[in-house]
Amino acid sequence: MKNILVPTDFTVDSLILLKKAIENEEGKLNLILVYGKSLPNSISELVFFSKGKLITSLESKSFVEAKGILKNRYFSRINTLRTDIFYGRNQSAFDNFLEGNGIDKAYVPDDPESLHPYLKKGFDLLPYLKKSGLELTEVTYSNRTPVTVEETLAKLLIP
Amino acid sequence: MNTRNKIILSLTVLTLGYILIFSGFIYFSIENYSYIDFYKRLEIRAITAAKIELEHQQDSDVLREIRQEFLEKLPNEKINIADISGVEPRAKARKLGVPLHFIEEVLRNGKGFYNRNNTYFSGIRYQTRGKDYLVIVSAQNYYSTHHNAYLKNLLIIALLISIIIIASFAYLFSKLIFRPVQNIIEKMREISTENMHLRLEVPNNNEELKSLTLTFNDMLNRLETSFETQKNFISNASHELNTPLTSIIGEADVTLAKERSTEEYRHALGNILEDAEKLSKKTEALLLLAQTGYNGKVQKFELMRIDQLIMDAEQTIHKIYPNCQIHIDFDLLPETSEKLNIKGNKQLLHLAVSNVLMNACKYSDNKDVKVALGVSNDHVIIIIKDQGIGIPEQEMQYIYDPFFRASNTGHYHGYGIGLPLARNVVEMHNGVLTVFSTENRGTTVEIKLPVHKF
Repeated sequence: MKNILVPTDFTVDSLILLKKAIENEEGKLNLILVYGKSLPNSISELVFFSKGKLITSLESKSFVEAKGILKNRYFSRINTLRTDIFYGRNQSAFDNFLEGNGIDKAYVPDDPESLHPYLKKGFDLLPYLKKSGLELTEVTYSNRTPVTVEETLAKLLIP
Repeated sequence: MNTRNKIILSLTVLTLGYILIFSGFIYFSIENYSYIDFYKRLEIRAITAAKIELEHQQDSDVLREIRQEFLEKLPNEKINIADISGVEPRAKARKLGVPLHFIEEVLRNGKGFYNRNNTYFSGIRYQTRGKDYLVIVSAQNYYSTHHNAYLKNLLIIALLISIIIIASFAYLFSKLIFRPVQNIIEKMREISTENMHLRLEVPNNNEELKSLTLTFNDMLNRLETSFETQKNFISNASHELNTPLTSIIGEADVTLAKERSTEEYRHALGNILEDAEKLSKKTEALLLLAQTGYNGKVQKFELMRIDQLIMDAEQTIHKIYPNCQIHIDFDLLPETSEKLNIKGNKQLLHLAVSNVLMNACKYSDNKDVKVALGVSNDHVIIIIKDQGIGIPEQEMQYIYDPFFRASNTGHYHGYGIGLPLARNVVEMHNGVLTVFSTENRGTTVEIKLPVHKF
């Protein structure tokens, strides 16, 4: 069973990467959606910090819905699908993260500016992924226009 | 009597009852205690007097001094010492001015108590040097007359004051409790048939009132929709009935245009019959819509498959707009088919989906119309996307108003009923219908319906 990493920016559109990753691979998969975000700076925020809460606050309703659609569609192919956050800000931390999660492969968009993690105050994972020496598969996916407020599931459903 | 006054009254009565019992208990126990205490004092005096008078006659001056010094003089204090050996108690009693039973009690128990008109008597039997004496001390009970009366007045005044305090507290309390209810009532008064779109504000800190307002808002929602359907029933009906009728008339017109073979007539009549059946189904559905008024209970909801529904709708549209390019994309259909089950009214949902599809075909001049279906954990999502004329942005807020038609729809025939009707039906099934549109680029309609869960 392969562990596949897919960077995300918590928009429905970015799940196209996930869809293509599942279609491209064979057999059962462990999928991890990863988002880059620093830990809060203040100690009081750190005391009450919870990764689960952070992820729930980042995921929009449509995003959860879209994830559900993909889960149902590839029910027999997906072993696990989880969302994780990478906190570190350097390459070795990222390498550690990959090793810790046992990542075998990652899917990245061919256009490096098509993910918009800055919209939700995160940082871009692509430079780390490129330097990590991990096996990368580029997916034709371009979405240069930042996401609108109203998120529609249409893009995922109708390519 | 309203609930507020009831609360004030019952709270006051309850607390007053409690205070009454409490002060009664205090008053009677204090009074009882003062009797016992007074009798004790009299008894001590009787013993002292007996000792002074009968035993230590030589030291009686000293003892009398001690008594005067340490024993307070009681009002109307009288001491009688009588020799009772060989004397009839009845005669003694008459002589001393006390009842017989008191004398008998003293003789029997060695001591006795008795009171009359606030004068208290305490008697003891004293035996010394072979003689039997009866010592009776009597005095007025100052404590009973003054202290107890004072206590009584004090308690009555406290009771009166507490009536005022409790009543005002109860008033404030009921005001506090009923203020949100009062607010709701005021807000409810504002809502009439003219402004049915108004909703109550949902309070956050009061669970009961929150559910009350939510229920009320929910009721308003249903009222509003049924109001609107009632208002537009005739227009809705004529619109819906017109579509199959047009198709029947068209079919008949074409068939009658020239001489045809029996086979062709049979085919045409078959088509007409099919449309007529559809017409009757729609009449039924519309009647149902109007009659049941969105309470969700009278509706006949049945289990059905959403993909089947879309296929059926697509076939219907194909007959009305044969040139329309509908592409159904079932790529994201779930692997397990039970997720496709939804509970709903077949005719109404068919009506809704075909209305949206019909709009997509009508306004896109035979360009591609894409239909996709996906199922998440809670919802079935139908996306209908066209590349038609779209809706101008500033008109987006009016698209659900019955009879509203966007400014760019001049060339197209329509009534402006299809979309509101579809939305009503979807909302009746606890679903959501959302429209995203860009002018001249196309419209995307997203229909979310809850998945039926076992």
